[in-house]
Amino acid sequence: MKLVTDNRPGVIEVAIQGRFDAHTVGPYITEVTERIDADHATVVIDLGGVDFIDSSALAALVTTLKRTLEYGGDVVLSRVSPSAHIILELTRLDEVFTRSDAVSGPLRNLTA
Amino acid sequence: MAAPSTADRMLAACDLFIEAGTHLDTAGVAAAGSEQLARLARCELAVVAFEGPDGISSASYPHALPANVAETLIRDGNTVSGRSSWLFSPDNRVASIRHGGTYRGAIAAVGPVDGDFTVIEEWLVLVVARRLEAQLELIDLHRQSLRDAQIVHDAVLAGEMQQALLSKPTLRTGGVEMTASLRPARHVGGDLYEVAEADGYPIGLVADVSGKGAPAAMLTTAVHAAARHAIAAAGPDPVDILCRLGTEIAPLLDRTESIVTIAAAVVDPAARSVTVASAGHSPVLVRRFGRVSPVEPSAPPPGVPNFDTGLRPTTFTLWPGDLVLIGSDGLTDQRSPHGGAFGTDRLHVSVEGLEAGPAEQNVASLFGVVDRFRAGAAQDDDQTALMIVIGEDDR
Repeated sequence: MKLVTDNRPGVIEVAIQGRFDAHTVGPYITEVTERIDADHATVVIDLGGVDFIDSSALAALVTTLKRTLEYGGDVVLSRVSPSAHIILELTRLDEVFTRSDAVSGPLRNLTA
Repeated sequence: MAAPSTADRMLAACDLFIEAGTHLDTAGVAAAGSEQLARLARCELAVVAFEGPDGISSASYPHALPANVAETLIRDGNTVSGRSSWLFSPDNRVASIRHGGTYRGAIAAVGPVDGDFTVIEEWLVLVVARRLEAQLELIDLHRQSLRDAQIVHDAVLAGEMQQALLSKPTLRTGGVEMTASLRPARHVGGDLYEVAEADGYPIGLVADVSGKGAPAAMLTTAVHAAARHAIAAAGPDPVDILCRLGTEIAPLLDRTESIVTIAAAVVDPAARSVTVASAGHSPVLVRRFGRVSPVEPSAPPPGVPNFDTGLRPTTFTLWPGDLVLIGSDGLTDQRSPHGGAFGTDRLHVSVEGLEAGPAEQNVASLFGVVDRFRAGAAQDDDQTALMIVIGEDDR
C-alpha cells in the first residue's frame, strides 16, 4: 500500500494506493486517524488507487468518521475505485460517507 | 605413553563436538567447552567465560576456576595485547566468543603442556570458540521454537474453545431445517453463528467481526454472548434482534475500533416464510423456484453511528425445495491458486445447483465447491454457511 498525505488548513488529505487491508491499515491509522483534532477535523480520502479493501480497512474508515464527528468535522471519500465501491455498497457503508470525484491534494501535488 | 596423534585428536574432537551438541543450557555449554579445549589444545588449564542468554556462564578444566578469572577474561578477552595478567601471557592462547553479532567473552588455553602450542592446537582453540558460538545460536533457536510451540498450542486450545461455544448447529421443526457450519481460516477467527429457537420460531444469525486472528476472536466471543442475549430478549423479530445486539455492543466496538456485519433470519414454520434483516452483511441469498436472488443489507454494520436507522426486514414465502443461505464473505473472497476470487456470481450458480436435500448436505456440498475452487491454496478467511431448507409439508 502507498499512502500519500497532505495538509490544508483544517483538512487532512490522504491518497491510498494498492491494498487497503489488515496488513496495511496500521500506517493509515498513524498518518490519518491519530492526527485528527480540533484543528484538523475534516479528512479527505482518495480511494482512486485502491484495488482491494477488507473489513479492517472499513473499520478504520468508520473510526476516522467517528473521530471527525467528535470535532464537528467529516470524512469525504473521493474518486472511490470500482473495487472499493463494490465493498462499500455491499456493506451499505457507501451511504455513510460523503463522496466526491475531485482529485485529492496529495495526487494533485504529485502530478504538478 | 605416547602423545595422541593428530588424527586421534581430530577423532576426539568430533566425539566431543557431538556430545557438546546435546547441551541446551549455557552452563553445560561452558563446561563442555572447557573440557574440549583442555583435551584438544593440551593445556594445563582451559577457561571458558562469556555473557550469554542466561547471564554469565563460566567453567574451567581440569581445575576449578581461579577467583576473578571469569570476569577478567570477559572484560579483556577481546583485546589481550599489552595486558600483563598471567591469563594473557604470550604462551597462552585466547579466542573471543561472539553472539548476536556482539563480543560476549572468550576462551583461554593456559599453560601449554609441551612448552608451546602447535599450529594445529592454535587452530583447535579457534575451532572450539566457533563451536561454542554455534551452540549458543542453537540454544536461541531451541528456545524460540519452544516459545513458538507454546503459542501454537495456546491458539489450538483457543480455537477448540471457540468451536465449543458455538450452539448446536442443526435445528429441525415443522418441516424446516436450519443448519450452520463454520470453518476458521486459522485456529481462531472472527466469524460466528447462532442457531436458536424462540416461541417455536427457528432463528439463525451470522456475524463477521472486522480484523483477523486473536484480537478478532476475542471480540467475537463477546459479540456472541451479546447475540444470545439479544435473541432471548427480542424473540422472533430479526430487526429487533439486530437493533438490540448493535446497541449492546456499540461501546465495545468504539473501544476496539471495530465493526461487525450481522444478518438474522426468523422462520415461521406455519406460514412457511422467512424474514431476514441484514446490517452490512452479505452474502444473504434466497433460492425460490430454482432462482437465486440476493437479500441486500438495509443498513450499515454496527459500529457505525445510528446504524439501525434504516434497518428493515424482508419476508419471503418459501416452498419445498427453496432455501436461504446466510454466508460470510470468506466464501466469496476465497482465492484459487491463480489468484482469482470465488466471487458472488460463482456463489449464486453454486447455490442454484444445490439439490433439494437436507440442509447439512447442502452446506457440505457448498463447502465442497469452494474447496475444489481453492484447489489446495490456503484458506484466506473464515467461512461460514447457515442454511435454511424448507421440506415437504408433513403436517
